Amino acid sequence: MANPEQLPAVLNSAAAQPLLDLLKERLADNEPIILDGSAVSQLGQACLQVLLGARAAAGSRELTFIINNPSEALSMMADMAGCGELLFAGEA
Amino acid sequence: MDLDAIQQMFFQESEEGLQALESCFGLCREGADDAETINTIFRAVHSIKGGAGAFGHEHLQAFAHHYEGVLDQLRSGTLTMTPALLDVLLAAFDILTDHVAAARGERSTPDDNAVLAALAGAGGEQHAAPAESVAPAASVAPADDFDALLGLLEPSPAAPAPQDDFDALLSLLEPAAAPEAAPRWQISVRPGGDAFANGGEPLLLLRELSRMGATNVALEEPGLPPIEELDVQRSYLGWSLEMPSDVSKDDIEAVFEFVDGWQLQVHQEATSSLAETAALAESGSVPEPVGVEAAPVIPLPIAPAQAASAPAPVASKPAPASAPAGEGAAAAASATIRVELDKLDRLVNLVGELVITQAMLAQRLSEHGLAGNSELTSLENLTRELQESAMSIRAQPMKTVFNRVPRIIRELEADTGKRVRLQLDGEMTEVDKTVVERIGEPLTHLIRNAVDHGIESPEERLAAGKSEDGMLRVGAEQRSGRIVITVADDGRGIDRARVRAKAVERGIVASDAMLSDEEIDNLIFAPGFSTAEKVSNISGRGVGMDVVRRNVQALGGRIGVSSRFGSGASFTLSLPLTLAVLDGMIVKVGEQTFVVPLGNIVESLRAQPGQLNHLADDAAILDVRGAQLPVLPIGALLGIPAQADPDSTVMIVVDTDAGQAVIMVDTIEDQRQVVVKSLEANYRAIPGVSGATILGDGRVALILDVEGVLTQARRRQAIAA
Repeated sequence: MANPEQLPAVLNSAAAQPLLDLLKERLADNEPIILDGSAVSQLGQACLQVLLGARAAAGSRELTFIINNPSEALSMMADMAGCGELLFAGEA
Repeated sequence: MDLDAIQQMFFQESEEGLQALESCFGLCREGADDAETINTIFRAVHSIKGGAGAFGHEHLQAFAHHYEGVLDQLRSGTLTMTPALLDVLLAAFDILTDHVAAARGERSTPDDNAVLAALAGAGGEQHAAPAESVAPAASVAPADDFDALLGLLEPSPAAPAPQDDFDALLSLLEPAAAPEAAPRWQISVRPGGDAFANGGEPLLLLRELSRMGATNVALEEPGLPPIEELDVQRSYLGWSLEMPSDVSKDDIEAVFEFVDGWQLQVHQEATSSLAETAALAESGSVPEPVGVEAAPVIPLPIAPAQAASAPAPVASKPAPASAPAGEGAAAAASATIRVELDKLDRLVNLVGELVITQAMLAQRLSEHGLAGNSELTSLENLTRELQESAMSIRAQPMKTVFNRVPRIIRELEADTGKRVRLQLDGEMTEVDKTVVERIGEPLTHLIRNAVDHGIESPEERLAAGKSEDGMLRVGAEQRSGRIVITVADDGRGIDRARVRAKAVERGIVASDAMLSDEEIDNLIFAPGFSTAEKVSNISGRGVGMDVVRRNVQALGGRIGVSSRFGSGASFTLSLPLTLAVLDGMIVKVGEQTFVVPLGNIVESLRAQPGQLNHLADDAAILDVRGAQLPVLPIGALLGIPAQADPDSTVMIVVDTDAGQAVIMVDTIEDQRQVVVKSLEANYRAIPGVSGATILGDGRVALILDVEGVLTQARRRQAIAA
């Protein structure tokens, strides 16, 4: 399994494009997407959309999509946005 | 509209909310804490909380959240207003004001720990009491608290348990009994596609809903495109969720008050059946609000009696899902409109230009023998009416200034240990916005001075045969085209002997100077004068009163004081209603035209033989019915060749802060309203001249600053001496 990619602490709108580029690159290479969410202190909708989009794309390509060790802030924001189970449910 | 502009709107509305709070708390202090007043307070705090959440002002939002919790208990009747609670709410209001200022970047984040603890205490006290008299609702009974569960079996007046019916007894355990009566809000929300523009963050609003108790939050992502087509600048998601029925629709919609282009539906539907709800609760699958802070105050659940009186099932009166959002708000919005001040100033300026042009036209027609025709008169009337209307748009009630006074008093009471009863009069008196903005500082200083120096301590007052509470009256009224603001206290008044002694000690007056009572009272406005036994951090270091006077003069106003030793003092500020137009007398000095403000003029006369006494080259005294008034030769003072023959000049008696004086001019031409143009903005400040105007014939006329001219004359005399 590939090394997990550390998600940045701040996943705001400004972080969305780099995150999208990274995940698209992994998908293009048919690599599993394994992310570490332990450092995340802030999650915005733009990054949430990117994560959801990447998860859907990984699922359709039968690739792994996992966010390991989600921080409390990440879990809370994802739960609050009604997608905690979707994001942290294990492999896509 | 960009995010900054929307945030500014939030700040403006916060200010209005804070003003409303101050007014409502004023009513509460008078014992008028009725349901409407409490509701208004709650709504204002809630609105501030909602906006703070939308813009990420977390400290403000968190504090407002706790504050709102106690207010919610107050409005639901589970907490009753007491003097002690009012004190806590007022202290919280002050901290809320500071938090708003901090959010605006005007100060640092206030330390709110003590007030939060006080709020928690206030809420906690009430929390315990009603719990004994009202059977707690099952929905909040901790599932693992057997004692609490047993408590549910105890009959209560609201929900008596049939003694023989075990099934009915068991039914009390069903947690959804109370909530079922009130249908929950069903909300569908979808941010606009450009919701991220200018830093917008929809999840902050979702978080606010979560804090308000949102449950069953479900993500709607059918619009999310494949990742290859995903544009990070666009919003694709939407949510459906439920809100408790005790949250009002207005409060829900208020969360979205500052966003544009969102799709929002808020409606009520019949709740799921009792069995379904109970089953959900039992299985633990009813989602808990996420992200709700550990509030020190836990709102009481709806008591059974209240639940029973909750709205009838929705089927009987369904809320139309397609009802326009915020009908009440829309109706209120239609009555007012926000306009940027710059636009308003431009309008006022243009109207001023129109007034000048109209005067020029009148002058030109007059030169061609066409003066006095009806069309010109109509134009003149319309122009004047238009100008008054434009000026009235800028007018604001003094209430915006007076609203700050109660807090100042509260802080002074806390700092000095004195007790002050405040009376505010004339709050709705309207005055130009510029005056409102600039009068706050001098007024604050006068109030601080009155409490610090004027009003005695409770012990001193009792010893003097007065009530323990000092009385401070702050009033505003329109009088003779000016606004008169009064700050009067019933304190010790001005000790003239002490003032005089201090003035002599500081070299402000000679020890043998003959001074009237009025002149002694006016010594307190001398620079650096202070009679305080010890320097306090309240009234400053004795530099205040002369600054007050200068600030008032800068507004074209005057300040006066009257006092009775032992009974109190009264300061009176007389200010022009507006700084944009001025009624003036047009006079000529040599080839120059000047405007003398009508507000300064007492009378005009020609000097009779023997009435004018020359003292030196420039100095003269005019005997006006026995009063010897100094003559100010404008020509000589401003370096303009003018009539020197007293028989050919006109004497205008003017009123100044330092008493009456006489302005000597060549001729009086006219009396009219003129549009004031700033010299500082268009040229530079000139001593003795407060501004300029353009006359009907296109000439520029300088507006005399009578006080400044007198000061200049005295300075010249002092130098000559």
